[in-house]
Amino acid sequence: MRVISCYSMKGGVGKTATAVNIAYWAAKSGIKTLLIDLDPQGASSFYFRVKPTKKNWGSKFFKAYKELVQHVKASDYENLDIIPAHLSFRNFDTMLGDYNKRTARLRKILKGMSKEYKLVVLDCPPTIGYLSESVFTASDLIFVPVIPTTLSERTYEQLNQFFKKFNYKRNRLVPFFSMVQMQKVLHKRTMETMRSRYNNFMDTIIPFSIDIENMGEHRAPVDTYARSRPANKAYFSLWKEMIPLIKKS
Amino acid sequence: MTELQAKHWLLPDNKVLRQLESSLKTRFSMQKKPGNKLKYQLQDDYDWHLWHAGYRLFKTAQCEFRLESPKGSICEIAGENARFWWDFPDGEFKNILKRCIKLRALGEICRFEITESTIDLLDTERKTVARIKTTTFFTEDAETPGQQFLSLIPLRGYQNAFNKALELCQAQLNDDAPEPSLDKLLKILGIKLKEKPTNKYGITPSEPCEQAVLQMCKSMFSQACKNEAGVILDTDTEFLHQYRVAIRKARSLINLMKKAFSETTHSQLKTELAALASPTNPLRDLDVFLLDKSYYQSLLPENYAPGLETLFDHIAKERQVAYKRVVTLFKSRAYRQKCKTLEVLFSSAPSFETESSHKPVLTMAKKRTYNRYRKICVLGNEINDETPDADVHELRIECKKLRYLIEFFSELFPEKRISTLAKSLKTLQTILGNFNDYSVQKEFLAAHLAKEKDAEVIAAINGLIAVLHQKQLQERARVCKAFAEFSNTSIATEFEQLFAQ
Ligand SMILES: Nc1ncnc2c1ncn2[C@@H]1O[C@H](COP(=O)(O)OP(=O)(O)O)[C@@H](O)[C@H]1O
Ligand SMILES: [Mg+2]
Repeated sequence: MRVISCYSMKGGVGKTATAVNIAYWAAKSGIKTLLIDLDPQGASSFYFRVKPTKKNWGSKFFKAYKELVQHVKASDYENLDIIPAHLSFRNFDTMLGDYNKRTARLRKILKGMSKEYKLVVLDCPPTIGYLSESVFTASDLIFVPVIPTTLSERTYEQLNQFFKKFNYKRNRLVPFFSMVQMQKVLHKRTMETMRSRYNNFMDTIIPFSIDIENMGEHRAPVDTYARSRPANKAYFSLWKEMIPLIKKS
Repeated sequence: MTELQAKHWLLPDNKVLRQLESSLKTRFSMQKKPGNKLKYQLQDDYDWHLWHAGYRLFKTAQCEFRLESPKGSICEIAGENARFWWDFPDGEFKNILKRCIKLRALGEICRFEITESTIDLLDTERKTVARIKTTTFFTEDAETPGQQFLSLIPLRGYQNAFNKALELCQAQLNDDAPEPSLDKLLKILGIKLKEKPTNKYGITPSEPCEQAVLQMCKSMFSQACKNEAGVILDTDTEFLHQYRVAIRKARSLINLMKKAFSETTHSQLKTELAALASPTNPLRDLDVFLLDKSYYQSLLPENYAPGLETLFDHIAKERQVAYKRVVTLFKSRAYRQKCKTLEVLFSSAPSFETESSHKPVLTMAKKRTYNRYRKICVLGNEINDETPDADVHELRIECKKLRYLIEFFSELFPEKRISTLAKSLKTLQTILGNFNDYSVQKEFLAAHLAKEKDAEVIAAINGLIAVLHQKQLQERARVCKAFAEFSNTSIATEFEQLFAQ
């Protein structure tokens, strides 16, 4: 089993859109996949139409695998299951503060999932704290959507600094450009400078696309309603590019 | 957490389905996904080897092959004419085929069509919370009515929805049916499952020997004749092989149980059977050589390849001629008459012309087997690394006779003990058999040498003969040890306990 995550300190960069579509393609290629929505806002759960459990169970999330597995729900797609978010997830950072070995906790409880799943995808909230550190420890690879603007460039730089400072393996960070508008000079220029600075950017670029924005309307992965559109092809090629990276990790 | 299980029902008609839909509508939103009619062929070999090994092989109109087993299914795409294991791409699919059907060809068992439609049951978010699936089987001829199953499929984490839907289904439908299964469909199509071949002939220990032997011969002979059609169609090489095996068995049985017949009867049966099989010798020899093509290729260095290729071309042409001869023979009146004669001979009442013919078959079987075993012990003990090849061949033939005796009459003895004995004998036989195969291959090639003028081909043949000779020497060196293992005391005790009287 491999664990991958979609992470960025910034909100609104395309983490959820990526998690949803990548999990979908993984499942569609026959890989038993579990998507865990760690963001209390529950956007991925919303896209898959999965209602959160009524029970206020966030406080038990890091207790044990046995607890966690009870909240698994089947998606509408073969091979893809989901653990939906709950508003109580907003307290994860404080809760983790009470554990010792706190950042290893997530990795430990996810281990039990390997009985059933080949891939776990974590959709993360845009925070940096115990939860995100748990995610860094638990993930074999961390995919980071980067909008090619000056501000995003700075954020990505900060993430690298953080990894360096706290001794996380930087080769687990895999950035890719998201919401790209090729007609914008700034986007083109930023992509060039960032690619020359960091050699680990993925080749695939996710364009800014109305079809991706429309996910909110359709509440389904792009492939189900915009099959032949460039945005769908971009997610598919992103997934294809991820496969060897995940295998190697 | 207990896993929810899908539930299945037999659907009597579409009216029931509509009633069910309207009752489900009171509780769920629904989304219908009608399915296409898909054509399938169930495939297997002549002996249903896949079926008996627990596999079901389906072929779609698009030449997609799907091999299903309780463990899951494997798909493979192959050409329209893929029939043998070697026609498929490398992988697990091919390995399973190779293991199960060996040299057999795949063919159609039956055709049918399936339509799978689903109705998703949705919650207020329009999230699917359970599924209804209808599976309809159609046979190709429209007269046979299709059978329709309805399944309720749970989705993980939606137990309540499933239970509610189950309640509604149970109110409308009769008792659960087991999963819609192919076995049931075959029954509807009127296709009988082919039984695994057994080595039982339905004889009893006290039966008079002649009567039992005739009955066994009759069964062997009819087994042989069942292969004629496959030989004529040239479906695979196994048909001819099995034909010959069955006739050889009948011949051996008659020879081994010679004393049950008068001199004239024995020699008549023997001659008739020999006359039946011998015209197929050339075709079988050529088949065997052609089947081993990749093996022969592996024996010689690259520069012999063109010569070897030409040799195989020549042999393949010769094979076609031999094949046509066999077809002509099988279709001839003379052949049919010979078969008829044998059938009558085997079906007629025993004539009890000899003393042994009355004796209980068990007594005779024990005596023959034990004598044969002791003869083998004498022969085998005389063999050392210098003994002439002819003696080794004699040992091989005696072992083969012993094996036949053990197998023919196995139903008169405890099954487990017999199969253990047969296994230990088989180990010795494999080495003796290989030793003999190299002789046969060398002879085949030497005989063919006279027909070739091409220098490259002649070089390839001589190369092969040299390699085969070396291999034969290696195999010869293993004979003494193998015999020593077979002649150990525990096997001797077993033979004595089972067969001495
Ligand atoms: N490539 C894209 N093109 C256009 N809109 C996008 C794209 N990716 C995401 N969006 C939209 O932007 C918003 C934020 O995206 P989301 O994936 O939720 O970001 P995050 O999870 O990083 O906060 C959503 O409304 C989403 O539909
Ligand atoms: Mg998000």
